[in-house]
Amino acid sequence: MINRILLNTPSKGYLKRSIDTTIIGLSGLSLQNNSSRCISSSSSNKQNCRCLSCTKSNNIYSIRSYSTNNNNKENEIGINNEAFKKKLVDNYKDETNSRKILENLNQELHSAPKSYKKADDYQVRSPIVSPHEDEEFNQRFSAADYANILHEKEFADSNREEELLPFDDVNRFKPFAPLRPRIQQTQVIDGASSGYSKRKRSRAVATIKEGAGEISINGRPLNEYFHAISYKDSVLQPLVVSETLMKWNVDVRAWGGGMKGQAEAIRRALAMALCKYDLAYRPSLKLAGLLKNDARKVERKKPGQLKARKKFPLVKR
Amino acid sequence: MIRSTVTGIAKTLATVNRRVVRSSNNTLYFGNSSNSSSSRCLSTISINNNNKYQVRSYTTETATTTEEQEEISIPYKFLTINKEQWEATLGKYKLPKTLEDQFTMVNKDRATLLRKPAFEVIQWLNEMREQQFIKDSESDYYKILDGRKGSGKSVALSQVVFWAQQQDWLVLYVPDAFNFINNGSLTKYTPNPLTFAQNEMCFEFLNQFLELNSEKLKNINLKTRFVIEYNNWTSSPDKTIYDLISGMKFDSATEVFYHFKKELNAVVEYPVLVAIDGYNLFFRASEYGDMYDPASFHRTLPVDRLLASSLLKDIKSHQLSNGVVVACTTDLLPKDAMYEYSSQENIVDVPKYSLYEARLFINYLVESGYLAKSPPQETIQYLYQMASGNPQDLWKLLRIMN
Repeated sequence: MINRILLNTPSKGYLKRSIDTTIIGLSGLSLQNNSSRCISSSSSNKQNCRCLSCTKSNNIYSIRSYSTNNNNKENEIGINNEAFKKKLVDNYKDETNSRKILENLNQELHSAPKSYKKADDYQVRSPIVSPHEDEEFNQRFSAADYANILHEKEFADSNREEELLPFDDVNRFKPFAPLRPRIQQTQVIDGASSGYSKRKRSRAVATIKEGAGEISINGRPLNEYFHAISYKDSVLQPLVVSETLMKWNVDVRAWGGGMKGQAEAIRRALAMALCKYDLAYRPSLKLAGLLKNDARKVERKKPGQLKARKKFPLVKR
Repeated sequence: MIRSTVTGIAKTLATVNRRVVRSSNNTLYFGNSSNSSSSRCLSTISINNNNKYQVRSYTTETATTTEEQEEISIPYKFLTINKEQWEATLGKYKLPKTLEDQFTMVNKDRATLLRKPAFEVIQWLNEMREQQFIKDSESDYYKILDGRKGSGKSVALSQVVFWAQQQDWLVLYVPDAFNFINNGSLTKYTPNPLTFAQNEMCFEFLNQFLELNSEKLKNINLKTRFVIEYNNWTSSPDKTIYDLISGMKFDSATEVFYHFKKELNAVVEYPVLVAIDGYNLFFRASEYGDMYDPASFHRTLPVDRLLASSLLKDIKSHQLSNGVVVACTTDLLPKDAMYEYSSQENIVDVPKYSLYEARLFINYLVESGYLAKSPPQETIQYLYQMASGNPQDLWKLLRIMN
């Protein structure tokens, strides 16, 4: 039957695709029948058996469903759906049914499509605009245009621009006005705020929440993450400056770079997080210089030199 | 300044102890009540009928001057011991570096802060003693003190051991498991060729044990039959454990240790406590290699094949008829294998300092004269956050401050 369909159908791509689905279904059927012999067919071993035929009922992946709603089993297409299997087999046996399918297919092909698409709907670009597509040609006067025309007729001498634009030319453009500072806003979500910062090659995100003063960096406490006192101190600086020791539970994620870079990235991230929590911390932190971004990176190596600044030793001849 | 307070507290303590001893038999105290002024013990624990511990404060006992009263009103929970007393009860061994610094730099007396996990273990020991060491479940066999690096695990264990010594327990204390496993040289053990004897370590260890507990050991008769093959020393019910260890030769040390452990299982005269510091090292390979196997390298020989140390490894189903095991971990090596072995119920967590405890410690340093004046509230908070509540790190920071 499959061959017959293929022979009769015209060579249209999309039609072939629709038929291919049926072929897959049928070929799958034959494969299933061959492989459904289980060695351990006795009832006692059947529960423990892991072959295809025994686990078929439990295997989720054997059912191909096109809808997310699993309860609607009529929509399922696949070998394991018995309703669909019956349909396929019945169609194969009954010639009248298969003819019906063919007729439907032919009707779809030869009958006129339900909705034509006009040629004008396609956007075809041409150098000269055709008159009926020209915007200016088809443009009609709006109410405002008529009002303008009336106004010009009645007050011929009036300067319309001045009436509409009351400001002077002096005030219109201020090239030397100072830049407006960025508007600072708090950003607290579920009682927590976070800050992000970079230093050298390292980055850090610090989130703060009101608590008993626990600091964890990448899941480790402060004393275990940093061993040098200076690094520990630099992390705590924003808390000291804002006088909020033992008030925050700080959770930090830091990555990249070295220890010092991370420590200083965490310092600024923490300061930013404090500012986002409450703007009142901002002035003191700014005075202490903790909100300053240190944009210095490793200086590049130059050609003709050993390093960024270091020169080759001078050799005479 | 501190001496005046200590004497004052010692006076109060003497009265407290006497009263407590008179009132009920279920009392626990650090140090002998008759000799309390010399031992300078600052804390008592009393147990109610409900078996719950209470920490006493010494505010209302004696009438003193107002200055002293203010100082005493701070609830002291320090256990202070002399160096001699420490060595008489716990033994002579090398302390960890930071702890030794604290003991030598601050004060000649060795003061340690008594904290909750130590009390928890002591309470459990008391319960077990009342229960007559009848073991129903795994939780009746052992306890493990566990915590982060420098949180005071071994300090808590030493406090427990000190308490047990005062209460007439027979304590087998292994102060450093690393030395216990890896000290000395290995020799062949003929009865069991797969295991190795540790004569050097056993000889030292047992001799020290004999020094500490000689009086108790004289009262314990031998209960098992055995012959030590090296010098044909036979056991009899007339002999005691003291005779067994004192008659030990260098080459028969491991044999003696083997039979001593079996005797320890059968001790009924005293409650027995086996305390091991650094228990997780038993689950890692030792520093040795198998000398008869040319393919093996150093640090591959498992502890099970060392005769002496393998005897103490099994704490889950040990055969101490009248005793229990308390162990604590170290951070020298990872503990994963130990966690798989032991159940979660038996692990007692040693937490970091609370801010109050940190303040107590700093107050102690001020009163002992180590710090010139008490730091303000903000610096205490700063130091606490710098150390993230870790006792060892806090001491390291304070050591620099002076």
